[in-house]
Amino acid sequence: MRAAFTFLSLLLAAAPVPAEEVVNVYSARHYDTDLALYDRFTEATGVVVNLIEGSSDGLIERIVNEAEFSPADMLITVDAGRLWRAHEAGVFQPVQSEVLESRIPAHLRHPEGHWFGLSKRARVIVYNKEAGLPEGVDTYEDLADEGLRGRVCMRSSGNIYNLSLLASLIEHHGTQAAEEWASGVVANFARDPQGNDRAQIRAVASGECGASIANTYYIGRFLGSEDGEEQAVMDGIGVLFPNQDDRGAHVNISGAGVTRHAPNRDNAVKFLEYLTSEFAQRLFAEGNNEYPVHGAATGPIAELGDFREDEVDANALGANQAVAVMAFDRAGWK
Amino acid sequence: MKSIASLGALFLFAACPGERAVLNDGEGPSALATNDAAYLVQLGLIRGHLRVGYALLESGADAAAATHSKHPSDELYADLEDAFAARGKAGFAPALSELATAFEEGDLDDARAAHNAVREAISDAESAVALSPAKGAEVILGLLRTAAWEYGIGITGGEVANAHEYQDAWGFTQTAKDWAATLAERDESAAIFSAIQARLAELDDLWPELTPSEVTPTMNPAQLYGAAAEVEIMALELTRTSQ
Repeated sequence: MRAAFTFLSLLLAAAPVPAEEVVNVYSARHYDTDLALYDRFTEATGVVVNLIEGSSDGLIERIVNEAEFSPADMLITVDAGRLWRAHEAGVFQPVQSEVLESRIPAHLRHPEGHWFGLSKRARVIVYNKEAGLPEGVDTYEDLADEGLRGRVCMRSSGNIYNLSLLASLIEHHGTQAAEEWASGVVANFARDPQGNDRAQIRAVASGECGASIANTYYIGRFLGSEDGEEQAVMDGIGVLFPNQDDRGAHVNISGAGVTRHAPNRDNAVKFLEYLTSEFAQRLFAEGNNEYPVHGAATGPIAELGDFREDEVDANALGANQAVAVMAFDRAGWK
Repeated sequence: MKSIASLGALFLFAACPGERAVLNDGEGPSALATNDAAYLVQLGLIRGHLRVGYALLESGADAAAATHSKHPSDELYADLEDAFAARGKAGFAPALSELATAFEEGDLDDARAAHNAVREAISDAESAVALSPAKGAEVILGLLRTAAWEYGIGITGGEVANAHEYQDAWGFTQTAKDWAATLAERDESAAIFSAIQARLAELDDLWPELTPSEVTPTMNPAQLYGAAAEVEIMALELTRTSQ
């Protein structure tokens, strides 16, 4: 009896302890709501989320350098252009998931499942409310009209949001027409490109410029602000979703993909599917005043109302970026 | 849930911009005066050079030993002077100078003695920092990232492109191992640093020889980058347990 007990004790002592289930996430998003979201995933599944944060380009470079020794299971980044770059660098592996394919519209994911859009932002026209919407402005294309000489403010052409917008124009109109548009906008500049989207919004509110373009999440931040000065900025601008009578407003995404050498692939797919659940979509989108990829908008941006979005393939936004850089350069957009 | 950002933003970069402690955007050498982890990484880089220098000296590669041993005073030490002053430490310029002189005069016994003196001086400089486990992890990561960067320069395209950088990577990795061993002796974080120590022990195949004659399949810089990333993930537990 004693011998049997000892043998059993030895067996138990030698039994391997189950390894903790984990998913290693490299993320370029830095929002507290994301952390709450990850905690909830752990509570629901027992899978611990190990989060490594960094810049999009830095994380892509890391995964490339780490190659087959990378512990990364998933990369979350912002902008279709960066997702495209990551895919081109061989960062992702394809994922087939009926859950993801049913929840995420086809134009917001890679056709072979290398990456998936998780939230959206629209690039809208903002105008000085007191001066009113400049006459005849209804589309991005209208910002190049001669009637707007000296009234348009823009951030630099190197900004990835502007690159993705021009990439969409290239996709719709071709490179030459897109470049002519950029030249027309440059001719309308009220000042040299400077500042971020917030700076453009402030310049429009102050009357320094008549119109500009900005991502909706910046407007959401002003809308949700309790700061009096920021509320005054918001009161000073009007927001127009462009191209509502034709292709719709340009939309970009935050997205994610399972990495090529993911050591915890199944957990990564599970996590990706979780991020598209109704609960997660709400938190993921609200954390940065974005729109979910499925379901209704919530938070401050819901006040902006529904709009028609350009359903151009998000892959094209990345694929056209190199051409967009050259077109901006030739147009003299600094 | 806690991110590595809680360990400090020091190591959010993909790779090291040259050989010096990796600092945040906009931070120059003056940050070594206020950033304890960066300060210890910079001292660790000096330790790494000396480690290589001493090993080469013992193997009879005197000229290469001299190059590595003189590297700290040539490139790394100057950035630390404000950092020593901020921490009430005198620094160790005279000891480095004696080390250089010993090599210039070809007195290898003096060189060995000078090596020991510099190492003791570094220990004194390190004692100015009250090292928390999280900060210790940052130091190990900083050294590993720099080692990976250097190794990638040393071994490129299946060839030994730069033996000096390859050797530097060995020295920095040995110093990272020493830190892991020291921290594993502390009760508060023994399990985590023991695991890190075990992971770092797996890297020995990267340096089959101190002076490489050929590249073997295991000599892949990605191994070092991957190990650094794994250590970073292991260290996340330190911030979870500190909440």
